[in-house]
Amino acid sequence: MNSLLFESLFACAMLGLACGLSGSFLILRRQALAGDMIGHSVLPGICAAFVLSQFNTNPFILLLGAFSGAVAATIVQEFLTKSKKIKSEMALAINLTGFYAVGLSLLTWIQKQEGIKQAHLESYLLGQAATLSHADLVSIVTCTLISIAIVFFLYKELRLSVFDPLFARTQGVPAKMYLFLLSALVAVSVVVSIKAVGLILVSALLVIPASVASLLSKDLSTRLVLASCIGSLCAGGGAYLSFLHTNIPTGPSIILLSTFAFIITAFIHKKKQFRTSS
Amino acid sequence: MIEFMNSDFFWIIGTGLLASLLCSWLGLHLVLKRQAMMSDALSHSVLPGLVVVYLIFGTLTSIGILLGAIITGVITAALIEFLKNQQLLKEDAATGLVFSSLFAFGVVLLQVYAGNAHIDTQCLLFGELAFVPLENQIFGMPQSFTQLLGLFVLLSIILIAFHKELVLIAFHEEMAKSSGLPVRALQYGLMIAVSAVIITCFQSLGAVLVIAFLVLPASFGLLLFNDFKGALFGAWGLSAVCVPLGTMFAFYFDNNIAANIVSLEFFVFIFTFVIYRIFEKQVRVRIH
Repeated sequence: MNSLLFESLFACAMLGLACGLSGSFLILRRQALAGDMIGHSVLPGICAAFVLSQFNTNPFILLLGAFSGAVAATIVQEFLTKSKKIKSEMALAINLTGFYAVGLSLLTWIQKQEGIKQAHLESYLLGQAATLSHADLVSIVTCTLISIAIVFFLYKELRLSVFDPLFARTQGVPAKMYLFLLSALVAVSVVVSIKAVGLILVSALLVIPASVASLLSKDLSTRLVLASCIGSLCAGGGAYLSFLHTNIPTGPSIILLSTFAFIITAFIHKKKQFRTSS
Repeated sequence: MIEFMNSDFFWIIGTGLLASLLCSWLGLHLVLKRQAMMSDALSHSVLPGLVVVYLIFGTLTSIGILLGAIITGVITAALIEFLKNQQLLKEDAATGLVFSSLFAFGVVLLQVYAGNAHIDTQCLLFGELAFVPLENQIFGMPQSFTQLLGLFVLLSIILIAFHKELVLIAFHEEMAKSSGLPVRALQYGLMIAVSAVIITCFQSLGAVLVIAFLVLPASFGLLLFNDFKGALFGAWGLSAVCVPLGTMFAFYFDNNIAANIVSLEFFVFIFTFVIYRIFEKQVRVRIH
């Protein structure tokens, strides 16, 4: 195993960990599809950053653009659901396609420009772990460590805000702020993952490992540990499979591996349930 | 502006408008049933259906594509229902899991077995309305337009015939169940109709923007009106304004037509929403 392959696999495992961690909170809040919305909404951010920085292909600038797109979408989502007429899933679908359409318009415009260095922004759609550079690895590791630190040190406050925001407020915990922090965590994990997994499938990396963990345990801290382990195993393993068969893109291979893990876990879970009931 | 007022332009606007009118009608039913994200799920999960049809028959005929899409649509809805009923997952997580797994499966099938297939992943994701006038002509009309027209006539007959039942289910599911309506059958019928529309609009709109055609005008209508007919009127009004305008923008800036239409609709929606919020707040202040 050469060092380049090892580096990409390590990067995938790290981003799987970050996604499993923030995905568990998403599932608890019944917002599993918010990851999908955030995944699609990074496209205008990336394109706008590319244009505003005079067609700079520096990964940090593109990451910053992606992050601002995700934050903008989260804010618009909050704003839209303030009215009773717009239900949360309507707002999700509207945001998802609206942001994506704006991004696609920008992307088409960029692709029609002549004489500029194309950043292959379209590779963000399905993802390819082989395109991860050293700078990407650094940003992935940093973001994952920050996510772990936030969840570790603020675990009690986050748990309280997720399960009972009203009670949290009576205890002097600003639940709204912590929920927004969780959304920011999701945005960070999505943003660092899109280059490897692609913006269409990144939501699955948030949802599936966390779903597997939710079948295995009811305790939040156990779930978080399990989800991050399963996430990193599936992401690393899936990336390795796509390296073995070069015509399979990384994103789909990671997702199929996690789905396989889910099916097996669900089967065992049902069998156990059946045994205890009879 | 005059120079592109030719028949190509007419066919593009006609196809876009027809797609938008049909999508917003079905989308209104979806949105009212709080299943807006089902459009997202169905639009992604039709991909494996397409690939399997290609692998079995070797070609992609319109009937084969339609059948493949309908079957995968039903499978998607059934899988989500299964995961929910077995209490394995909540509805949102089940939706996310099912459609992304099916989409990933489709991409892998496409890459591994159908490398030379006439399915371009990029084309599926983006779609291009500008290709409509270049298609084969059927009855003197471009293929997409004819297919959409046929589907529109068929579905409007069905939607009008079952209007009362569908609206009752949308607004009051328990009552519909207690009055002996086949709620599940109608729900699956709706899923079949949505899958059929999605696959027909696929080539011109792409997998993601068809969601916007389904959800955006419908939400706009519901924002402005409280009854079904009013909401449909609002949705169709937004389509009638934004489709021609967006197409003109796209021609002028040499951009993707569907993306420009949806961006325009999105901005109009957000703008209307801001005004609506201000109005809503004023009413609340006056009441207190």
